[in-house]
Amino acid sequence: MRVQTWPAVGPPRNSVSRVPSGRDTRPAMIEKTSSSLIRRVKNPNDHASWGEFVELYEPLLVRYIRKRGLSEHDAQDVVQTVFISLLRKLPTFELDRSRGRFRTWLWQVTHNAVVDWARTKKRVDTAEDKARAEWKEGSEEPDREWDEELQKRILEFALEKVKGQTTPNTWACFEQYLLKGRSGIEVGAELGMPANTVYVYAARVMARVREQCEAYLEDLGHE
Amino acid sequence: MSKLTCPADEDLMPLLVGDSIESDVQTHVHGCTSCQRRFDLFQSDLKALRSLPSVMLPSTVPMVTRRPNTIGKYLVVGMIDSGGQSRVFRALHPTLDKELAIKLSHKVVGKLSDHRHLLVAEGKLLAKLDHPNLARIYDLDFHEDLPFLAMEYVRGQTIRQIVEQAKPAPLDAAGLIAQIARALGVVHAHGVIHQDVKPQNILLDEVGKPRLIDFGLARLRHAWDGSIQPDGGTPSFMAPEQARGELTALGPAADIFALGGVLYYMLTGKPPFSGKDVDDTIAKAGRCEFDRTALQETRIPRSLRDICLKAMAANPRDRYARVEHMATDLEAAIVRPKKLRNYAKASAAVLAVAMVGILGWQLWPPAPTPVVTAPHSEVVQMEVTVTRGGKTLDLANALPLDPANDGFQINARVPTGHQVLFVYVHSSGKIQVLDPKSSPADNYTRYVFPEGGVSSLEPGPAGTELFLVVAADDPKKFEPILDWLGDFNSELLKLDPKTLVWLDQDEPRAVTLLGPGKTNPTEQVKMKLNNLRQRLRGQNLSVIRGVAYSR
Repeated sequence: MRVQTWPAVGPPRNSVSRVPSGRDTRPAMIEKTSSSLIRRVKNPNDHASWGEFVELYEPLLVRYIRKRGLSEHDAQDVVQTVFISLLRKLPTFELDRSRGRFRTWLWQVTHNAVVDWARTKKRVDTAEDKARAEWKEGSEEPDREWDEELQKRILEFALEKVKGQTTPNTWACFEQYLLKGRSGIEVGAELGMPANTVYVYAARVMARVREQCEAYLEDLGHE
Repeated sequence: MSKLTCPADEDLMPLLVGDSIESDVQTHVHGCTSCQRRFDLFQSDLKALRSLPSVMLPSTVPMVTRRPNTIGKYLVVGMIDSGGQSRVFRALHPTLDKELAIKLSHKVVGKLSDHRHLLVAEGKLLAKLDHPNLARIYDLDFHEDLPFLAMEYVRGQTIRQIVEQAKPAPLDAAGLIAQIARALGVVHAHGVIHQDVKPQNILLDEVGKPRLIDFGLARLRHAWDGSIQPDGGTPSFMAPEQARGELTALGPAADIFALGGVLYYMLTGKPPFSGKDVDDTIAKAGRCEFDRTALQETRIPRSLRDICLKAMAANPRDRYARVEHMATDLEAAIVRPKKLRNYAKASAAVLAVAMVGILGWQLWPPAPTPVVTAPHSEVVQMEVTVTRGGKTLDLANALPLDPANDGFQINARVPTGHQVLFVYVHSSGKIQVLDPKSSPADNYTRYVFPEGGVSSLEPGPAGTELFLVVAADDPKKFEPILDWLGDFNSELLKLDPKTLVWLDQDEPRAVTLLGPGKTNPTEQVKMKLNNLRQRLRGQNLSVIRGVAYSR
């Protein structure tokens, strides 16, 4: 997907992608169920939300940090440090969705953890040199790559989550028809259902994916 | 032409993939701005979803078993280690203050099992063990019927990692083992035998303090399968009676042997027992067959060799009766001044200083009126400034140094009633006692070296240097210090040119400034300074300040 520079344009409600915000058309029938994950995870006794938070953000952070040239082991170590700081700071973190604070804040904590890592580890290897060269000291705003990775991870996680809550046949309708773009009649024949049922299931899953994405994207803050 | 009611989402589906198109829906969408938008949104969303790498993978990818994100009440932030018997996670206490390492066994202990009560009782016992050189155990509980131990999280390097980088100086090794021996004394006092003392189970934490981990696991047999060959490790440090499987004969002496083995390893760079394979190593350990001649190396003081051999006697009865006795011997070995060496043999005192001879302790000036100083005021403050091109910089801001052009000045503030010792350890190993100018103030005396000017740095090889200021009520206490400093940089330690290590009465702290470096001997320097601090403490010299850096 083409991601525009954050936070210039946010996704409209119920959409997983960004389109210019002037085009405000939304289906009204999808009700929102997930409240803000960030708000929930501020409570250290909310174990389910912490689990959800880790599952959503860990792959993103590992991927992003590894791209800075850190080894898998070092990246894991830095991510652990990031999580510790997040947990400690979250209770007093003020979620201000309108200013995109969480998106910037998460990036800053990650950025600082990598800079600290680079300071304490003094091994010279090419990977670390690369990390240091790429790491802009003193930059305060996340780069475009961060936003792209963040958005990608949210879409991916929403898919994983909805898949886990959906019966295999229903999921297959969505996956085979909408994601893979196969003919509805063909998919229906394989699953033993008429094409119309495939459309209904596909639309239902799509709605859930959008709803899920929206909940997470809103946390990050957009206009 | 278009229908009045807008189609539902599922009616738009066929259009999205270009399936059989129902013409009236299509017609409606074409004529309805709102449905057109809706359709476009669907398309862009699908495009985004389809661009995800995972979407195009075959759907048969097996679900990866996730690690638990919470264990008991603890919040797990990642996995540190995974072995045959357990996994170790890094976690945070729900009060968010304590960081923990959680060792989660693979072995199910059912809710109705009698072992459960035994384990909980053992956990309570272990939670009582407290010593600065132990990594604390907080809690033993169960996560989905798997026993877990919540322990203090210690960040640092293991002795094994440290020795693999560079063998520590013998007296540093002795200081470290002495501290672990004290910790082990507390463990033994509670009737607990570690049974797995080895270099991997001693960590040097972030301030250079050695910490013993994994004590008491041997007692938790119902959760972990004893300690012989734990996690497939080798019995390279195992006491002979333990290697022979004489479990009833196991007592504190087995730990004393293993600790002696760790000292042996730190002195010689090799583990006592190493065979072709695990069985061969066990056999060698059972016969107590290790290379005693390796300890004959000249740089190893005789006292340490004797301690090592006594701890590693084949017969448990010939070893130290208690680990505290071993600690006492080690502490004596590091505090006892060795024969004075010819320190300042290198004659050229390029520093414009009064070079004081080997025995000539120069002390400045006796306090005019001895004042009893309150403990809180017994703080030495030290500042090293560097002059470069007319500017005066803090040492920290001046690194790396430019020895050809930089000058320096040391300032210290010492509570009245103390004598001071200013020492400079040059990168060549030469030790210089500096003669500062004193000016008394209200309840402290200010010392500056050199007086009213800046001293240029004497040329020398690359290496670590140290400025040290020590204050004491009795100058006799200074006597062994120069000797202790004798091996400060003999190990070719070279701190990264952008790292400083500060020493005070608490713990050495490394301050690293950003920049590329080649080696990471910070741990060794911290360890050395920590040892120095302990020796000074042994002399009741807690009033110290120092800074190490590299040129």
